[in-house]
Amino acid sequence: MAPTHIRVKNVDDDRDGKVFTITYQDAMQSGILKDLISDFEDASFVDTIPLTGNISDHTLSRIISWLMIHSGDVARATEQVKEFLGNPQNRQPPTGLGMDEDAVNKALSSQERTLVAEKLKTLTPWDVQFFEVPTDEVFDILIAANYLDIQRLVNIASQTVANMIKGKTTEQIRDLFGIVNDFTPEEEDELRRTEGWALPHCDWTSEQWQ
Amino acid sequence: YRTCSIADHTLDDANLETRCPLDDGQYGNNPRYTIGTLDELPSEIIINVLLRLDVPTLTLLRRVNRRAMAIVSSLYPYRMIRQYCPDVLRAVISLNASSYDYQTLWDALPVCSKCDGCDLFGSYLYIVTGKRVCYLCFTSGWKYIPTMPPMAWDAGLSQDAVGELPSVLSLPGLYTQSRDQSFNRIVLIDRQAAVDYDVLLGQQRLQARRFMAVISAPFFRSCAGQPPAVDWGVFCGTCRDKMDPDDMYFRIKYTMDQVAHHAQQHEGSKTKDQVSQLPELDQASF
Repeated sequence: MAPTHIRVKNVDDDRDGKVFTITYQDAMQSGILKDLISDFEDASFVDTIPLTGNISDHTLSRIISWLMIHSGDVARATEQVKEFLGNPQNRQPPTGLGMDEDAVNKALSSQERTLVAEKLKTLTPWDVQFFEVPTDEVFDILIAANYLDIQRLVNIASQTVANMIKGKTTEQIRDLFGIVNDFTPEEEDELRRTEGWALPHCDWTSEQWQ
Repeated sequence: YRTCSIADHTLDDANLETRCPLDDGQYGNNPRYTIGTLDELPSEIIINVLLRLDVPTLTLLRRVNRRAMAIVSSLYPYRMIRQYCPDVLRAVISLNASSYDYQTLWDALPVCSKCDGCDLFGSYLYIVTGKRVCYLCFTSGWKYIPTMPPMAWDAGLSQDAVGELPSVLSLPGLYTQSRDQSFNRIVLIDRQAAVDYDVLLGQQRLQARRFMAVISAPFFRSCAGQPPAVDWGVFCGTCRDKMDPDDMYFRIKYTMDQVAHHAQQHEGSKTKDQVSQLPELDQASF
């Protein structure tokens, strides 16, 4: 029988880290923990699962708090979409002529899947707040989530990094990530010109377009 | 079945090549520096992040440094669009369409060939939202005729709400078959998104706006184990010959998969010859 709570020990190269207790349901969101738990399930003498991902205690505790908040998400989203589709008005493929029941059901379930996926993709205000931390901490969480194989957290964290880049100038992006500019000013000018219309100061009154 | 060209004066005829030449990526060779802390991330994560950027931002990122340029150039979706339909890329950059990410644009090209509004092959890309549309849909109906901020304000939307709607900045030029001239760059807003706010938008007199935000887009048909075939679609010659001014069916484009099926509907003896005259597909090569 599956246990209700899992104890995870964060094992570093040289020292034993903290022990975290998380619920079985929360842990199931992580591909790695899922595998480890099924590996250890028979070995009843092991009560703590060692985790060797070089993840800092701080990052792991943050990830666990994320898992706790989001553990019911998939079920919740599915329920909401089911309710939404329960209203015939919202069904996209209306029962067309010549469509048998199977085809209608198939279309509906594919619509359901897309809607659930869409619901899971959006960043909640909680997520936005969760990532209001320095850039390197976001990166730590991203790398750890990737290691722990929590696809949704990876996607949300990637979206956060993408949002950081959006709306910035090249100079601001360089500052943000500590990037060295290795273009000469002439090269940069030339590159800027290749984007043409993207530039507000571009002289479009010339005969180019006539 | 021909790929005859009818000048519609959409963005296809807007001289995008001279207006937005695009860099050829030559500076991406031999990068000496890293892309800073971003390089700490595993490469699959970097790709995940970059494909979530909108197209103008991704293009801007190329100018950050040589390694950034090399990484963007190496993205498969970027490479494919840059190589086979650079005008789509040029149009999206030039119109500064930043309401959807690169992945969305890429998904619109190879995954689904269907028009957003109907079941036909959508041979155009509606740049405001990055969705495919067919000629019949974008030239008629209300969905794909962009509106403008003053009209949205009149309809009762707040400035902030208008700012959040998907929008583009049009290019000056000649649009529609009657070559209506547009001198200024104007902000075009997606009408569908505005209507979602339950507001009544005024009727449009300026049909030219329909043509300011569409460009031909090919369909990347994936072949198992082979590079994808780039399919721009073809018109049906038989439909064209019996051209009827009230009937726009001759403007329907078909993908290579659909055209054979369509041909069977014209029970003509010449069908076979015409199918054999299908133009060769561009085979993508690496």
